[in-house]
This record gives sequence, C-alpha cells and structure tokens, in this order.
Amino acid sequence: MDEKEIVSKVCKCVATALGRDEDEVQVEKRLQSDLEAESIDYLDITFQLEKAFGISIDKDELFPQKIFQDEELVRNGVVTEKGLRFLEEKLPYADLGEFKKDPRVTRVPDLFTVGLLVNYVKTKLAAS
Amino acid sequence: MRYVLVDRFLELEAGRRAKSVKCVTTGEGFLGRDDEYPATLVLETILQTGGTVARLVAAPGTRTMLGKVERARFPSSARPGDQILCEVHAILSRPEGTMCRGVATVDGRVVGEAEFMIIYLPEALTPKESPAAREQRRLLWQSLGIPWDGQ
Amino acid sequence: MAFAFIDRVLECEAGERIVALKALAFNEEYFRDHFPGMPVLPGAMILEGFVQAARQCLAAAPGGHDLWALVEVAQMRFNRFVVPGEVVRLEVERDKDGEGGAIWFRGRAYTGDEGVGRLRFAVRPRTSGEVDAGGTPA
Repeated sequence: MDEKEIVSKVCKCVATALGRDEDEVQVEKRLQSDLEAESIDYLDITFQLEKAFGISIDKDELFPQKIFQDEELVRNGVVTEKGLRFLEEKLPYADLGEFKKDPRVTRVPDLFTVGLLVNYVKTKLAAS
Repeated sequence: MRYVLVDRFLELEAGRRAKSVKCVTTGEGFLGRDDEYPATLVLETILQTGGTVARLVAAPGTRTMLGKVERARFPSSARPGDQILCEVHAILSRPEGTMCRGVATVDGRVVGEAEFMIIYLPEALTPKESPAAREQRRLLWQSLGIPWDGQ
Repeated sequence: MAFAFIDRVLECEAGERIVALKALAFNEEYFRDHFPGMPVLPGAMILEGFVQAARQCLAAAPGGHDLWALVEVAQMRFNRFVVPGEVVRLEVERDKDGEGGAIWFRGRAYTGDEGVGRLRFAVRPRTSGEVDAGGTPA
C-alpha cells in the first residue's frame, strides 16, 4: 500500500468516526482542536483503523491514557522528563520537537493529528 | 411504559451474535399518531440485543453502555400486532468495547438497521447498583433466556 | 399524542430551529429497566425527544404538519450519563434536504451549559398506507 492510499484511507476512517465530510479531514488537522473529537471518538477511530487496514491495535497503544493519569508522568500540569520519555516510547512516530518547548499536559491532545495516525499505520504495516 | 425492549432471545452467542424477538402492542403505551410505533424503539431493540451480546464477554467490574450509533436507517415502520425479528452481529471486539451491526425485520421487511458501538465502562464510573436491584436484573435476564454471569 | 416526550418549548423558529426541554423524573417507568438500580436516560429516548421536537418545529411552519417519520440517524454520541432530577435542553436545527422529501436536522443535548450528546437525523413525511404498501425505502 503506498503513502497516498494510506493517507486517503486514514482520512476516510477519521471522517467516518467523527461524522465529518472527507474534504474536512486533512493530515495537518488535530483530532480534538480542529475536528472536535470527544473521548468516545478515539475508540471509534481505533475500530475504524483496525477494520480498514486489518491491523490489531492493543488497548492504550495508539491513545495512551496513562499520560493523563500517572502522577510521575505529569506534575503541576506539565509533562515531566519521565513523561516525555514515556511519550517518545509510546509514540515513536510522533514529532515531539515542538511539544517539548512547552510540554503542558493540556497540549498532549494536539499531538494527535491525522498525520500522526498516518505515521502510526505506516509503522504498523511495516512491522507486519 | 417499561423499557425491556426484547421479549425473548432465540439465539445468543456471547460476544458474537444474537437473534431476538420483540412484539409490538398497544399495551405498552408507546404509540403515537396513526398507531405509529416509534422508530427510536426499534433502534432500542437492536441496541439491547447487541448490548447483551457484548455484555456476556465484558470484563468483570464493568458495565455495558451504548457509546455511539454510527448510522441507523428505518426504511419502513412497525405497527401493533407485528413481531420484530432482530439479528445483531459483533463486527469488531476490543477490551474497551464492541462494534455491532443489527437488522430488525417484520415478515422479511426491514424496519430498522444500525451500526453501533457498545462500550465497557468501569463500575467505578457508574452509579452503584444495590443488591436488590442486582437480584431484579438477574431475574429479568433469566426470564429472557440470557445466561447470568454473576456480575 | 399518547407518547409525548417533550415537556416545554423554549424557542421555535418555525420549520428551522427549536429549543425544547425534557425534565427527567425518577417516577418515569423506563428508568426501572434502564437500568435496574442505575437509572440513566436511554440514548434512544434522547433521540425520541429530538424527533418529537423536530416534528413540532415542522408543524409550526405555514401549511406544516406533524406526521413525520424518523428515517435515518448518523453519528449519535453521548458524553455522559443523564439522570433523574436533571433537565435536558434539546436544540434542534434544520440542516440540508435529503432524498425523497427527507429533511436532515442537527441536534445537541445539554444539561445547563454542558453538552451531553449530539447527532444528525432525518425525517420524512409519513404517508397513510405506507406501512401496508410494504414501506419501500426513500
């Protein structure tokens, strides 16, 4: 599967899960801030990706909830060194460069863009 | 009006599929103008059938809830005297929930179809159920032919 | 109408938009079964509220009527439980027209300022004899 096909399929998954028209979904769009994704939608996106690409996604693999719950990973609303390592490990396909300059936990959801999902799927397909 | 919208399970495979029946009668107090039976309740029959399929494979300590209805269609309507046959299949299952597809028919005519997501919510996040209420639920399940899993 | 779910209409722009209230009382019978010992408003009942509000909105238009059947639902989702003692505000707004005379609406449910659910749905005029005719899809 080439990049273009992956992008198109991921966009379709996101559009389905969020009830959006496909032309509203582009790689740079953030799931929460731009596309109004709510908690239930992350599970839906996971289902849609599994279905579309025939992959199996472990619980908390794609959207690790732990970063919002573990005191060692976040202190005073800021992601700790340990938290950053956790994110790097969990989301090796994410670009954390910009995030590290201002690692407030409220900015974590914005890491989840359509592009991140594309990179995730690419990694996943390459490994299988 | 009560809200048990499945009368009987004909077939029930935990986590996979189920076939149920639901009778439509004036006795329930749900009818609107022209004896119209609300399509929303046909949807609820599909959801309750799917909820039971999912519930039977839910992890201990969770409650089964509706997460989302992706899409539902009601090509025709049901009316008093009809027996709705409802078939639901689980399409995909995950630890957090199950995606289902269901169709409701009356004499082969489709009165509703839906694709929906059932989620498993930790009990801690739901209001607490009393022992008496639990016993009531057990008896209800028993009368509908649903195996009781002790949860 | 025997099965009336809306308690009050707050605003109504005939044929376009309606804001209605549904108050939730513990005594309502469906709470006994949904769920035993854990009364929460069923999603399908919120949907019913939206549909009934949309019907009233369309009936208020010049030459309007309230014989509309729900034909389609898309992306109905809920964020949290709604429980007895709360009042749900249903905001329904007309969207695009669909096939076969269907009209799409967007609905949002709130308790206070908090959004508790949203969806899109379509209704179509109910014609008499529709059921007997075998109910061909629009």
